Amino acid sequence: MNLFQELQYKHLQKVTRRNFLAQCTTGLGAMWLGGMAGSKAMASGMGYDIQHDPQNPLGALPPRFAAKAKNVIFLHMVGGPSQLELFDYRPELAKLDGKPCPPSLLEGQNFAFIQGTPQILGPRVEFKQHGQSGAWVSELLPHFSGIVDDVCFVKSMTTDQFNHGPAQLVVHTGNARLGNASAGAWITYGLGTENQNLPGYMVLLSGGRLPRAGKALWGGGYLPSVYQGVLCRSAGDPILNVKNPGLVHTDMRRAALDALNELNEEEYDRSHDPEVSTRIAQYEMAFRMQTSVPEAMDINDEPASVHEMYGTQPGKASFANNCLLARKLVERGVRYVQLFDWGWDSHGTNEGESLDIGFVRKCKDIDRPMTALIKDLKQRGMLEDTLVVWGSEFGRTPMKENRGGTDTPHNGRDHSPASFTFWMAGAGVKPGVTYGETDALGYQVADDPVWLRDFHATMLHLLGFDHNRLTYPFQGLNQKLTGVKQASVVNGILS
Amino acid sequence: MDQGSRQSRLYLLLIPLACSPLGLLGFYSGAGDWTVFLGRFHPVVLHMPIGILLLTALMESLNTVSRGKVRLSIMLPLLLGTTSAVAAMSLGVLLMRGESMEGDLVRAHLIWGIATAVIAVLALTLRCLPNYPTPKTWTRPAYLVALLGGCVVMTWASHIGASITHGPTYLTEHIPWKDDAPSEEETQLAKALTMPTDERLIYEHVIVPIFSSKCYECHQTQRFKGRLVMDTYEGLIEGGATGPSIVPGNVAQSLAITRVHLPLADEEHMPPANKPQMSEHEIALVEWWVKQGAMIETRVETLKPDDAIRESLALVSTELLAELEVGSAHEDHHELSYEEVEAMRVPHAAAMAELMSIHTGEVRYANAQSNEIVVRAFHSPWGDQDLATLRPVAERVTRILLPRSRLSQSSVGTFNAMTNLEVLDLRESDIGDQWLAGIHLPHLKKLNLFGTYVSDKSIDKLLSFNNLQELYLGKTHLTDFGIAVLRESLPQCNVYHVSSF
Repeated sequence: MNLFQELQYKHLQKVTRRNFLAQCTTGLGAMWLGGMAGSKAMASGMGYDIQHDPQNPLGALPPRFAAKAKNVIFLHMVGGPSQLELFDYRPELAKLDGKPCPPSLLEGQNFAFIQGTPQILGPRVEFKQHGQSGAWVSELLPHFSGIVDDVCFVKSMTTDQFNHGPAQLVVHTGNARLGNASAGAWITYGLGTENQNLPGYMVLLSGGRLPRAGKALWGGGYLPSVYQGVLCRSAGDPILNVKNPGLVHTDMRRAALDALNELNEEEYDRSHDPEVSTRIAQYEMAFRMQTSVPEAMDINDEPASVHEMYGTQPGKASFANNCLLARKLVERGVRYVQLFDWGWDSHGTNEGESLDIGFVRKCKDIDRPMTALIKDLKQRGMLEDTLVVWGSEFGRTPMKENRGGTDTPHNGRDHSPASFTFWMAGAGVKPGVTYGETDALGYQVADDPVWLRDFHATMLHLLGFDHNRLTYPFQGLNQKLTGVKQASVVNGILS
Repeated sequence: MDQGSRQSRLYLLLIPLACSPLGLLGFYSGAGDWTVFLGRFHPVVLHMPIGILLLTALMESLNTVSRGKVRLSIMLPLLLGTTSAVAAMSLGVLLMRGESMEGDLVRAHLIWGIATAVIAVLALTLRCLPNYPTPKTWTRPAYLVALLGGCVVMTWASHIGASITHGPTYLTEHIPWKDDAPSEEETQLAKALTMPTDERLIYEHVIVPIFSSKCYECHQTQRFKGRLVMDTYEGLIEGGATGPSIVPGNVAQSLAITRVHLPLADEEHMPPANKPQMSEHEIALVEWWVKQGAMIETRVETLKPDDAIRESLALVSTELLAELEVGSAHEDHHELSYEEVEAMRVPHAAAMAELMSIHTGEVRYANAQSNEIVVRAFHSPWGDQDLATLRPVAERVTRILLPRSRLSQSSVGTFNAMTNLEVLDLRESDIGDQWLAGIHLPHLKKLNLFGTYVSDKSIDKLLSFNNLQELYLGKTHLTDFGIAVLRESLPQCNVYHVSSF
């Protein structure tokens, strides 16, 4: 069925008697139910009516209620960094170092690699308390230790997926299976974006590899495709296929577009199909992006002091460059900036995956830039509008990994969905706070568990949406980011 | 109804009258468990007479108006309506006794409620009178008057009853054509809470707002429980059923304090467990007041409050003020309907529509529930002309974000017209000391001048913004010394500046 037929079909659906009668049963039932539940309950159950101008589908919309956050920067450390070597200081764990793991910890647990009875692995690093809030931070993050009073730690994150792909999908789409819209797409759908010369949702990669679940992590799912994330490269052309080919000059491109627009406008006058005007708008945006994207993605013109602060080296695909780019993009009104930094899967099977070598290197890579990002946003008055989230798809076990029942050559830990740490900073988040707690070994959540759906509900709340009402009809269900399970806003971390 | 051969059916009166001794009993019983238990069925039962008696009146009107064409059987609804009216009255008496409710509204409701029951019984009696051997011509008109009159009396009784449970303004506070001006009480309270601490009168401006928020709901002259009125000073001293609320100088004897300290599970604990509780700071203030002698006309200053009390005073005022604002702005975080939002936006709707088409996406309402206007421009730098377009809506603009804007001295006038502006963010714009010198924005809370040309010459000007909470001065020409002066002189304001930028 082509688009025109589909529109006709939808129109007919609205006018046929059979359709009316079929709808009647549920319609009347719904009216009765609405009356029963009271008008207030009904109003709070209704989805938001999100109306985008078809010619400007990314135009900015106001939030539904007074909200602090306008933008999001999400720093995803791909692979599952060890919370036990970064933020979750467990002195008990050091005492049990090298002892066989008590069977009570292993009962009923699923592991990606651990078999039989593994040994407990004590923290591989020293911890100290920092700032007025007294937050514990590992010696591997000396820069970050200086800004803990601007940060809110959630130590009781928990998930139900222990493999990278599905767990990453839960973090970004709320569901372990493919095909759902990512949080960035939901937010861009709900709020549009503030700079029509740039995509509203941009994705930056570092660490050398794509995350396991790939592009689905920034997909639009069932939402109109205009809301999906746009992957930008920090070296070479930032966005592929936008630049004019070699001999085509801007004037020629403009002339071609004008001719095309004329044809499209004629078609629109004939059919009044909104998709045609969307198409015109998209071509125009691509044209504007030809100049605006290279400008926004160029960090060469930043002063030396900024490069020094972030530790950036122009022309390299690094986490540091991406942090600086994230600030530049948000500064230009981009709604949602997603960073992925690959290489945190510290199993201990080789040097790169060793907690004592590769992991230390990764910490060094992120420490200075992520600290600089927070400081920079704060100095520019942007942290009040911007929510910065640092996290991963899961954490790591307090047990040493024993892949195949034998010792790994290096110290490493297995995937642990049971508990891990997120930190957040900025708009609407209480600074200098630690929320939730894990047990004495940093394994299971002991207090105030936060599921990723709770995190999503909180993030949407900070941006001015009730997560139950930001919905999109698909396959007979009003889809939402938080899914069908009960999700609640984590009020304890809101300022 | 066959008017010709009707026998007396007065025996039917026994059914409603059987329900009345319960109420009479209530008058003489104390506040026992049974009284409360049964009494609480009052709100359940009272809706039956309202529905049934009104229906009866409607049916009887149809019978009368149609002159015999419609002949609806009246007896059953009339009997049921009357019975439930008497039952509701009896249960109401029990409720009043059981919860020891008193006050003008309660008394009025009692009288009108009894009147309803009596008139309903009268109507039933008239309807049941035998019309033979000699048919009486006056019974039917009298019956109709009783029935319709009873409905009127009942409507008034139910209105008073609803005023007791929901408050007297329940029906009228959301009249769409009424402006949302806060009530006189709210204005008074807001005034008291915003006065400088030292100038406040201890009773009127400190204690009354606390009691008003936590106690008046059940203990005010209009309607009160436990024989206790708390909205007058005399009422506090006189106290209620169990003793005085306030004994000046004696905290241990003052029930208004001791009851607050009881465990939440204790039946005597006040406010009741399901109601908003007093905060520790509120308790501290009430205790302080009683300890000092529970004076009325004394100013806070003369009582020489210590630092702890001063902190409590400040915190309680902010909390109560916030409560007041939430209450008047949107009851229970009530979500405004589409029409309400539109109505609120009417004064500037036309100008706003034009602005939104000129500056697509850059000028908009703060959120879907608000009529405040925000400007956030990221496409291209704004100039003076762009800014001037905001003139027609200037007073509604609360937040402006114009990064890298190219504004000159002529923009000053437009900014100054934005009398309600709270956030002004002009990072990396072409502005400097001269521009800032002209700016007069008394309500400004956040000012972002990151990357602009302001220098130490602007220090005095910056100090003149009284309400400033966030001030961003990174990458400006201010010296470290200038920043230090600002930080020193603006203790309540965060001054953001790192010299390394």
